[in-house]
Amino acid sequence: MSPIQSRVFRNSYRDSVELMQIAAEIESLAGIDRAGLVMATPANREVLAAAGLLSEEAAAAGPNDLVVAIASSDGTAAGQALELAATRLTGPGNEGSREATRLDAGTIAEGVIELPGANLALISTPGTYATAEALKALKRGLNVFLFSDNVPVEDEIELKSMARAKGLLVMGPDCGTAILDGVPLGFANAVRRGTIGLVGASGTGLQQVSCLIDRFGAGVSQAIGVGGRDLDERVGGAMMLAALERLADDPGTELIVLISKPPSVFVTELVLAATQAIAKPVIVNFLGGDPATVTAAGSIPAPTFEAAAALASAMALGRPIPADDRLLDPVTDDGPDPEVDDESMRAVREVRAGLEHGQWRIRGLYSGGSLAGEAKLVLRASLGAEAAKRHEIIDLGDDEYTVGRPHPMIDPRLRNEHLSAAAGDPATAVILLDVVLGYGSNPDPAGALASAIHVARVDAAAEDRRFAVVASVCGTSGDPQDLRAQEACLADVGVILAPSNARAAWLAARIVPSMTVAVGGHG
Amino acid sequence: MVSDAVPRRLAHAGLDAMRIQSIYRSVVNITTSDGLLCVASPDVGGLPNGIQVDLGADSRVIGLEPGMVVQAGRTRLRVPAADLEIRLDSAARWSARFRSPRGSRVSGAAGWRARASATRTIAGARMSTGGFGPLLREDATDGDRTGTLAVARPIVVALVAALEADDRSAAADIAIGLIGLGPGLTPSGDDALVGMEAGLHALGAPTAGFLASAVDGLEDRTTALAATLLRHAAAGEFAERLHRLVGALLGSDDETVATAIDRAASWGATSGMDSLFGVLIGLDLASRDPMAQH
Repeated sequence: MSPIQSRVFRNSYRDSVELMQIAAEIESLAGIDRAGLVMATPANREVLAAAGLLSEEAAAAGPNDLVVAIASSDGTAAGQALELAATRLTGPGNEGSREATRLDAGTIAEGVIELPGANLALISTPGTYATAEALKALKRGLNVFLFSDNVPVEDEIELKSMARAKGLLVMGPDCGTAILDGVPLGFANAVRRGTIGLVGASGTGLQQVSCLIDRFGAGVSQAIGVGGRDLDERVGGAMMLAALERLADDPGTELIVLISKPPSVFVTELVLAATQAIAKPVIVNFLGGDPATVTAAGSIPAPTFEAAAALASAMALGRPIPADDRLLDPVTDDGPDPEVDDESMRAVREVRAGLEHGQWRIRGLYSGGSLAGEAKLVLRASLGAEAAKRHEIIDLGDDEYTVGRPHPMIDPRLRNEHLSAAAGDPATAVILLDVVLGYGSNPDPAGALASAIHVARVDAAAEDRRFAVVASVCGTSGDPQDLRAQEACLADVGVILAPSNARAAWLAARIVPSMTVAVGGHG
Repeated sequence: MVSDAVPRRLAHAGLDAMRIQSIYRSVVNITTSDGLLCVASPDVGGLPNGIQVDLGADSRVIGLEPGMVVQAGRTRLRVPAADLEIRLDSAARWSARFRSPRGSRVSGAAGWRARASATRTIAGARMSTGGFGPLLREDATDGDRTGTLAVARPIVVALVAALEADDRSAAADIAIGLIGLGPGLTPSGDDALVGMEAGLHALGAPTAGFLASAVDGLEDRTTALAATLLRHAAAGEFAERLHRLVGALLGSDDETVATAIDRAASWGATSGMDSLFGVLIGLDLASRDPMAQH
C-alpha cells in the first residue's frame, strides 16, 4: 500500500464545484495513486480509512474541516500535490483560479460585476428558465440575445414590452444568429464588416444573406436576429421595429435589409410604415410575400435571400442594380434552360439524362428552417404549387426531429440517417442539401456529409441506380470551416454545388422530369 | 423575500449569538444556535433557512468578514462591524413547505406511477459519475475510487426497505449511515436524504419526516450547512429549486422533465443529481403508499 500524506484545512468553506475541480486536478498529477478531497465527516473518515487514505491528522478532523489525502509511493509527488491543493484553497494562486472563473459567472448578477460596462446578456438556458433570466438581464439594463427555445409567446410579449419601454433589444427567443459591432453570436458567420444592416426573424436566412453579401464583396454593419415569432400578430414585430430604429440611427449603417417569412397584414403594415419614416434605403425580403405592397411603401422587395444580398451589395458598392435573377421563374420546358451554359447546368443536364424511369422525386434534407422554406418557395415557383407538393423538403432542425438530439447543424448523424433512407428510395432523383458553416456549427459538416453521400452512392450503384446531390454551402472563407475547403470536399463526391440555397433549389427543379411524366409513372 | 422559518430562528437566536460563518459570491452564511442562516442574492432562489436580499453582485467585497458578530431581531439583522443592516419587516414571506390539497396528492401519486419509468430513464441518461449519480444505474460503479458508493448502496437498499415497511424508527437509524457521506460541502448522502424527504412530503406520505428522529447531534456528523438543510427537510421545508424540480417531475412531459433534470445538474458539483436521486426514491415510496393513493 502506498504511503499516505494528508493535510487538513480547518473550517474550510469552498463550494462543491471548486472542491471537485481541485480533486480532479490533483488526481491527474503524475505519481499520484489515489486522492481524496472531502469534508471530514465521520462517514467520510470511515470511507477514507477503508480506502487506506486516513492519516492520524485527518482522523482527528471535524465535519467542517476539509481533508486532502493522497496515496503515492513518490513522496515528492505527494508533497507537490498537497502544495497544489493548498495553493488552490488558500494561497495567492487562488486569485488566479478566481480570475479563471470570472469568465464563468454563475448568474447574471455575477456576470455584471465581472464585466462592468457589459450591455448584452446571451441566455441559453432551457426555455422553462429563460424568461426569468431574461427579465433579470433587462432589469439590469442589458440587451438580451435569447438563444433558448420553448419560451411561451406570452413571456415573449412581456419581455419585448419591457425591452421597448427600456430602449433595449430582446433578440429571440429561439434566436440563432446575430453579429453586433462585429461580434458574432450563436450560429453566426465570419462576414466582412461594411455598411449593410440586417434585421432577421429567420436564423439561417440571416446567415444566408450575410454570407452572400460577403461573397458579393460588400459587408455587414450589424445583423440583428429577433426570433422567428417576432412578426407574429401577437408580438407585433416589436423587436424588428426596435432594431429598425437602432439601424436608422446607426452611423455605420447606410442601408437596411429586413428578412422574414411573410408577417400578417397588420404586422406588415406596421413594419412598412416604420420603413417609410427611415431616410435610408430598406430592402424587404419577406419570403413569399407580396412585392407590390413593399414597393407601394417605398421599400425595395427581394423575393429570395440571394436577391436581397445581391441588391444590398450592389447598392452598398455603388454597382448597377442586378436585373431580376429569374430564380422564381417557372421551368419553361421539361428540362434545363438551354441558354444557361455554366458548369452546374452542364452537370444538371448530364444527371437528368441518366435518370431511370421512375426516378422523379426531390428529397430536401435541411438543417436550416428558413433555407428549407426558401427551397419550397423556389420549387413552388419553378414547378407549380401542385407539382411541388409531390416533392419533400424536411427541416431537420425542427423540434419534431431534435427532441433529445443535437441540432443537425451541430451533429450530422440525424441528417445522415435521413440521407441514407432517401438514397435507398428508388423514386429519389435529387437529394437537396444545405450546409451551414459558422462559429456554432459542426467543425466539418461537409466532411460528415461527404462520407454519407459516398456510402449511399455505393449502395445505390449496387442496385444499378444513381441519384443527384445538389447542395449549397452557407458560409465564408473566414469561417472556422472555410467555405472553399467545404465546397471542395462536397465536389469530390460529385455534389452539384450552387452558390446559394435558392439557386440549389432552382437547379434541383431542373433535374427532375416534369410531373406529368412522374405522376403517370407512379400514380 | 424571507422563508417563513427564518423569523422563528431569529426569535431564538438572541442578541450577539450569531456570527458570520462564511461568505460566497451570492451567499453569506451566519451561524445561529439553530443552524445556519443564509443571506442569499435573489438569483439563488428561496432557501428554507434563507433571506433573499440584494447585497450587490459579490458579497465578498462589501466589507463582511467571517467571525463578525451579527445582531438579530424579529425585524432586522445588523452587522455593526460592516455597517450593514437588513430590514425584514416589509419583506415578502415565502413558504418552504409543500402545500397541496389532498386530491392533488392522490392524482400526483397516480401521475408519478405513470411517469416513473420514463423519468428514471431520462435521469439515468443524464446521471454524472460523481456523487450518488451512478447508483441510479444498478450495475454502475463509475467513479467509486474511494469506495463511497460501495458504502452507500446497501444503506440505501436497507433504508428503502424500512420506509416500505413504514418503519420510521428503523429508517431514521439507517439514514444516519448516509449522513455526512460523500463529496461536497453538502455531502452526497445528505443531499439524497433531503431529496427523499422532498419526494415523501410532496405526496404526503406518512413516512415523511422520518429524519426527525435522526437529527440529534447532526453537527457532529456533517457540515454545518448540510445539518441545517437536513433539519429543515425533516420539518418538511425545502429550497425553492427543489420545489421546482419535484413539481416538474410530477406534472410534466418528457421534455420538461429533461430540462428540469438538466437544470438540477447545475447545482453544485453533485448536489443536484444527489438530490434528484433522493427525490426519485421518495416519490416512488410515496406513490406506493396506500395513504397517498386513496
